This record gives sequence, structure tokens and C-alpha cells, in this order.
Amino acid sequence: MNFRKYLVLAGVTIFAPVGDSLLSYGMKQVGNIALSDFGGLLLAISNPWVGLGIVFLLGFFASYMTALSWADLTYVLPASSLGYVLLALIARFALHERVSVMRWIGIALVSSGVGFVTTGPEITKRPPRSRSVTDSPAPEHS
Amino acid sequence: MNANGNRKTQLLVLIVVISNVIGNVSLSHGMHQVGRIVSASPLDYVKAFANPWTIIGICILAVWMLSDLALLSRADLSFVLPVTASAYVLVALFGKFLLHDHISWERWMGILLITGGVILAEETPSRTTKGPPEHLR
Repeated sequence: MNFRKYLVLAGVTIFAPVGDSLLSYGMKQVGNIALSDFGGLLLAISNPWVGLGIVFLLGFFASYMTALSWADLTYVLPASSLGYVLLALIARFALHERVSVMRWIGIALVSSGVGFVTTGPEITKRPPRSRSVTDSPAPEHS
Repeated sequence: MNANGNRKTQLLVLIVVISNVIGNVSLSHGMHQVGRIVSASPLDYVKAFANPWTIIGICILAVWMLSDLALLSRADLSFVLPVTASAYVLVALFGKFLLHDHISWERWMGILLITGGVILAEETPSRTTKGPPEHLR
């Protein structure tokens, strides 16, 4: 793991909760909508907070795809759940939601879990071409 | 929240969890086939979008995002995100048996701790704020 990879993981970790918070704030302004209500969905996207949230989530998605290209899904997903701590802080101080003691304990558990996951290797060592559907050896190209 | 609204919320939670797991597994499978992206070149992403598993994963994650949006409009953010995170263990199982990831004991410990944290965070009312804030009325 070099610095650049940590930077990508940090992108995954930070973009997601910030984007979600912006979305949450915007969606509370828009109000309840149903999945089938396309007009409502369009109206939601035209809200500036929702729009900004979506831009952040696009940034999240780009870094997420990058991370998945060189690390296991079972590494990237837990490793980026450190965003929970960030999320709780945003929920508490920016959105003024009440964060209960139980939720704080839950968030502490999540954080310690992230600590465990990131001590391990980020990708499963595989023999070359083990990903092909059949186990037959690949034909040699001369 | 009335009973009908509660059931709708539960259904949304179900859709959010299932689309989250399947979308992520599919996307991960696709990105591993595409190969490592180390440069910031947009060409790599264009190549990634040519992979069917990546496309399927993105489509399912779009469903996840829409259902998540709908859920966000009904409940607190700090309730919604832990709910979606209950997919961690499912992702671990799918990763082990479908993607053949090697899950070390540290990884299992981490995943279990995260899930424990999720369950604690979930056992709270889904909405702590009463209605929209004053300035939004």
C-alpha cells in the first residue's frame, strides 16, 4: 500500500458521508417522495443540496471503482466504513440530529472493526489466470 | 409514523440492502476483470465501462441509490446509513463464496465488530427530529 492508494481510500471514506449528508439535508427540504414518482425525483435533483450531494457521490464512485480495481471488495467496504465516525459528527453538528449513546457505542465498534480490517492485506493473492471460468490452462501464445 | 408508513420503510430497507450487496459484488467482479487502475487517466474508466459486470453493478447500484434517496426522505441519516451497512456480513459471505476472496481472521473480526456497531445503532427510533426544522416550514 503506497500513499496514493491511501489517498483513494480516503476519497472513498470522505466523499460518501459528505455526499450523503448533503443529500439528506436536501431531501428533508424536498419532503417524502415515492420511488414511482418520477416528477418528484426530478424535483429532488433540482434542489441545489441534492445536486451537490450527487456530485460528491460521483466523486465517491470514481474513487470506489479505482479502489475495487486493486483491492478486494471485502477489504474496501469495511475499510471505508470509517466514514461512520465522520457521518455521526456531521449528523450531530451540521444536521443537528440527536445522536444517542447507543449510536455512539455502535460507531465506536464500527471504528475498531475498521482498525482490524486495515491491518490485513488488501487483496487476495491469486495465481495468474485463476479468474477464468474454466480451470483449463490458458493456451500459450508463441 | 403510522403502520402503513412503517411497512413502506421496511420494504425500502429490504430493497436498499439487497441492491447494495448484489450491486457491489457485481461491480467488484467487473473491476477485477478490468484490471488495476493506477493512473488518473479517464481512458481507464472508459475501459471499465465496457465490462458487462461493471455495467450491471452500476445499474443495480443506481437502484440502490434511488431507494436510498427515498429512504433518506423518510428517516434520519444516522438511521439510514447503519441500515444499509447491515449488508457488510452479506458482502463478506458473497465475497468469500462467489468472488473467492481470502478473508483473514482480522477481516472477520473487523466485519463482526462493524456489524455489532450497526445493530446497536439500528435499535433506536428511525426519526428523532419531529417534522421539518422551523426554517424549512
